[in-house]
Amino acid sequence: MTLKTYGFCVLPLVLSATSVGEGLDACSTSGFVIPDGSSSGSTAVFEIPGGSDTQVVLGARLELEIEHPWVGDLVVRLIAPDGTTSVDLLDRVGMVPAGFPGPFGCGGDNILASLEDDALEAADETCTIDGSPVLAGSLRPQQSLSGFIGVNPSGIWQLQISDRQSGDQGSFISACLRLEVAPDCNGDGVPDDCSCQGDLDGDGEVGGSDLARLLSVWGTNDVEGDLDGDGFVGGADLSSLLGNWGLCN
Amino acid sequence: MINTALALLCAFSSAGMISTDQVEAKDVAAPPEDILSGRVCLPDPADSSTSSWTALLPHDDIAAQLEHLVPGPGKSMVAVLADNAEAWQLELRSQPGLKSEPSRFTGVDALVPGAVARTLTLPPDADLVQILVKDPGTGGAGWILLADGQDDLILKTHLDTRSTLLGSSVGLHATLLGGELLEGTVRLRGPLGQEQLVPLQVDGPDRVASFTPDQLGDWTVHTVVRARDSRGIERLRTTQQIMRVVRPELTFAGDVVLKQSANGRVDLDIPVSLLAEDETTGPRRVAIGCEIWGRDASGVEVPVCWAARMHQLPGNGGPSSCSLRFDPNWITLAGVDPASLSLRALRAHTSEGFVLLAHDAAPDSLIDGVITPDIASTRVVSQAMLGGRSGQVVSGSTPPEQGLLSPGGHVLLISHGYCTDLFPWRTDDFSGDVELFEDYGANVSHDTFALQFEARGRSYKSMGIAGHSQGGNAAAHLYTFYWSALDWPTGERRIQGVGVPWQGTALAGNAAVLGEVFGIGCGTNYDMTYEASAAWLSFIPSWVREDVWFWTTSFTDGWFYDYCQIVTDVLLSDPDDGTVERYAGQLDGANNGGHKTGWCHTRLMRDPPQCKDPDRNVELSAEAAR
Repeated sequence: MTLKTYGFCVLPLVLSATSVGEGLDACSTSGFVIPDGSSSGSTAVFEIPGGSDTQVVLGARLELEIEHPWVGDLVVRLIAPDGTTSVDLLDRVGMVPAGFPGPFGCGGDNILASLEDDALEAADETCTIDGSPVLAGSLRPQQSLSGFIGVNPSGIWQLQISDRQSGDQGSFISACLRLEVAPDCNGDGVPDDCSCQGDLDGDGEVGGSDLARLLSVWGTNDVEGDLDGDGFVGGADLSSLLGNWGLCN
Repeated sequence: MINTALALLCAFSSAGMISTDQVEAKDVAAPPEDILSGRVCLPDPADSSTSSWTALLPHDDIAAQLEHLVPGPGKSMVAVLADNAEAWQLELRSQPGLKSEPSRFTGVDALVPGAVARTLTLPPDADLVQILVKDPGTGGAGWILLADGQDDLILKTHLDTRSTLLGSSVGLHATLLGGELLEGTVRLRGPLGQEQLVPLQVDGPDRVASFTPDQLGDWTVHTVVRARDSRGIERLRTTQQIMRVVRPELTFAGDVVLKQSANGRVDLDIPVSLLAEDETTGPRRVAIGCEIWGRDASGVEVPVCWAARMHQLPGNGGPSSCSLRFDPNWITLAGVDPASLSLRALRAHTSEGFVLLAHDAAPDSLIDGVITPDIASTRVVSQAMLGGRSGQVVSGSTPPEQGLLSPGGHVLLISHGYCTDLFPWRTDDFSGDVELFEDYGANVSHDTFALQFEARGRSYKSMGIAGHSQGGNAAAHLYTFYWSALDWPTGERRIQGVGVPWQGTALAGNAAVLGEVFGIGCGTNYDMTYEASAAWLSFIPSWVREDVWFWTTSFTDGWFYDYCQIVTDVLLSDPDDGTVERYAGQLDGANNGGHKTGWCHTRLMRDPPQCKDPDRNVELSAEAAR
């Protein structure tokens, strides 16, 4: 168990992250009480360890379990490790000026849902008068998770959960972040075929012509020649090219 | 995002928007059992007749009767109802061996706020009494209410139609129980004060007076008969009713089309023809209801469900359409072939008074591809099926950048009823989150009252309602027809009502007639008549009633002449609370909290007001859903 502070509340967290094929999963299973009537709320975190290769997010979904007697109180926001890329997953679902569900949002109980872009139903349009958990199954989030495409998954993901209306209190139970990732050898946010890093002329082989091209931009910030993405064509790039010498896989 | 803020409107236009534009109407449904039991069926007008064993007449019209009166065995009382009742003389002429209390003054706020009557109780079963009634000579109008003790001689009257439309003939039927009806007249007084007298004619076992109303609004219908009781004694009997006359705003105008909507529900597109809005038009809302039937596997026609909805009509006239909507799971549950669906009892009522605007017992319909869900997926009736939410069509809107809303709690809203000058509840008995609904001196329909509750509820996440008198009707109306904070409370009792005239009260009609004497007071309230109540109740399905708890009270019944209010007592059937009869305070299908004696409807009655009962109030507070 680790104890971390992220500017909101101090939370006990159990973290795990495993790499499954092209997927990365991280779960937070230590529950906590969500502060009632607080715009700041609490934060659960998921730690995605950095690997030997840089990666990039291709897709994401979040499996979320919250016990709360009035889910329309909740705002749930996922923030990428870069600290700036964020997506509002739930934003006071069901709020309308009057009618159904009402000006205070959906009054149903609990969330046990997988928030994903290709779900048929939108979380904001799912409220029922008698369902529990009222947000259940596969649901589209308030904002598209495609906002995370291209970010580096490595590091601390924050799941901010705030209860914006006092009077009903609930608890975060657990969440799992499922990421689809791909290598991004040059760190430009675009997936790369890292096994052929150095094939600058694209002929399927790292060879003399590629070496000549790299040397021709030696000492510059040429993007193609800057294989490690450090902004400079130098020894590390040469080393990488030579390490992949030969036919690409 | 879908924005259904206009959901009250018929689908065709946004014109005619009123201040309730944000209200969302429910797609109301009721199970087949409600059709078979008759709960959502329009009752025969004769079933909501007005009964009377008394006579209420101008002094000059009853003076002769008072000169030679033979009291029967029941309650006997004379009341002078006049602006200056204090100045009137009312006494029993001295007769050997006959004792009588002197006449008294009594407030009759239950009839007309601030009105005072002079009353005199009579010894029962006396051979003959002479009652001296003398006006002060100041010219003020005076009416006499005479209860002659012959309480088995009863006049019953009812209108023969629920469609009291401008320019359409209406018949008033009168029957007499316990004697012979000798002759009678119906005195009609229109909204502008014009009067007409129509004699009762023999028509089979009934006497009937036919007339054609030529003014919009509330008419008083005052039926006066001369009758002979079983002892051969001639007596007068009268009934006092209200007849609401409306324009034929809407008529059905063609085949109804059943089709599957995009959200999977079944739509009934109902062609209608509308009159254009004009300056005489009140709220352009109509309640439309319809039974859906189908054939089961053995070919037998069975009810599928009943669907209803409150519609806001546009201002323009001409051809248009309204829609009803129901969950296809009803078809699955009924086990019928979707191709066999048919409609019955399509009807439209005004939202205020529930006057029947249009009715089609068996409307023609066309079925445009209705698909039902897998039968295995539906075993029970869900709340979404009853109130119109499938979980797929909920409106949503991006909330504003969240500041904390206020107050936003879960409350019990306690409310007064019709025409109240003081808050009736003893608020100290209530604890927890309680809010008061206060709109003193108001005279509004159930619909308007309900929309006021709805507006109040927007400040809260959820609310339960404890309503006194009409406040109970309004709560049930809100829960039936509109989405509101009343849909969201948790706890045992969503709606609690004390002294609620679920089936109406005779005082509504009597107060209308006495408006001629005392002025309009708070005005007539047609919704609380027996007639309007019966029509309204036919739109209140079982699932609403199951969420209602009600209580009734009446006067302490001892050995003497007991009552809550001596004047209204004889206008109502015992036992009563001075305003609502015990029987009329029952809501079939709801939870009966019981009847308690020793408590009356409001203050200024003989026993304490029912809303001051601390035991019940504490219970209401503790058990309320919030």
